[in-house]
Amino acid sequence: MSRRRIAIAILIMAVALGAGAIYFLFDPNESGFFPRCVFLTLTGWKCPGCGTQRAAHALLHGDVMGAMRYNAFLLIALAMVALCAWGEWKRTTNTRLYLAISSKWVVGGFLAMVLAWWVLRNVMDW
Amino acid sequence: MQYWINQDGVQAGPMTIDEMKSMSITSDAYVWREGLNDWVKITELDELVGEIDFVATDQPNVEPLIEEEPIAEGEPVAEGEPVAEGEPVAEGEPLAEGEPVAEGIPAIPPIEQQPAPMQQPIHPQMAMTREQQPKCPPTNLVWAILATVLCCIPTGIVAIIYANKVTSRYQAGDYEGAARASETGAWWCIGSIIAGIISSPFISVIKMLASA
Repeated sequence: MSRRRIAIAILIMAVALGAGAIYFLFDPNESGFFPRCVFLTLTGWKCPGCGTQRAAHALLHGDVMGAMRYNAFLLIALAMVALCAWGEWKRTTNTRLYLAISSKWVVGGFLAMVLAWWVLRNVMDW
Repeated sequence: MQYWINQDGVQAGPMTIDEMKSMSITSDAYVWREGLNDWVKITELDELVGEIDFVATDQPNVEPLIEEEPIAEGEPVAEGEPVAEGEPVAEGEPLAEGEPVAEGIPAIPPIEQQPAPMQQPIHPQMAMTREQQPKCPPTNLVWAILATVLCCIPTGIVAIIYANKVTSRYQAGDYEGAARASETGAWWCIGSIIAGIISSPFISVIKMLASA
């Protein structure tokens, strides 16, 4: 079990490092080979994740304000991901913590924020 | 390698494996050597298994005496000497556990640290409550959020809804329903991520063709 956990942790770190290197070295604004948002292309509306790639590039270069401009929600989502990953790591040993982090108030609140962000960014053109 | 042995409350050592072979040792004896944190059952020390022919125990159900009479901490016991009440240690000079004693003889771990020869049986009621409250199934929330934010396909939101169902059902005591929601949510995560990866290049090509 612990060996499997270590393997998963190493795999995730390797993928994160690789992706980080790509988004650090290449600017999605200029390079053509980055994937395009399907939802935006099909509907003309932005999805909650639109701008994540450009925001990641900006964030990796220390440009927090630039990242906020491309996708203001990304930082909140990353914080949430970090929190959930911590809870996931502790799931079998600390069920109470896990339940607190993934309680319906936290998850429901996050879901409401995603939906609000999705509507608002299209209405307000964020 | 020097070994110390403790059987039926009688401690002996140091001795080599060859010396131990000439002794009559029962399989419920305990053994310790340098490098071990604690006494181990002689049958559990790999280097001794197959080396020593154990004598059958005549009283298999009798608990070892060593449980009852702890000797003084860290004090080496002379060869073959039965474990008596520990020799009184000089006041104000308590020997730290496991601290090496003079004359190069390694300190013998205190007997009371010895692992209980028998696992305490789990009370049936405790086993019941443990079974009644299984571990919370994974909510896959991390993947759901990542799919929503990174994959450009809003189906990740469905996975978030299922993550919510997992915990609310788990807390309501519906463990089976929670497990089902967990699994469904996992499939939504996988589906969203795969769909996002597969569809993006197609969409890019279509867009390029359309603008050309």
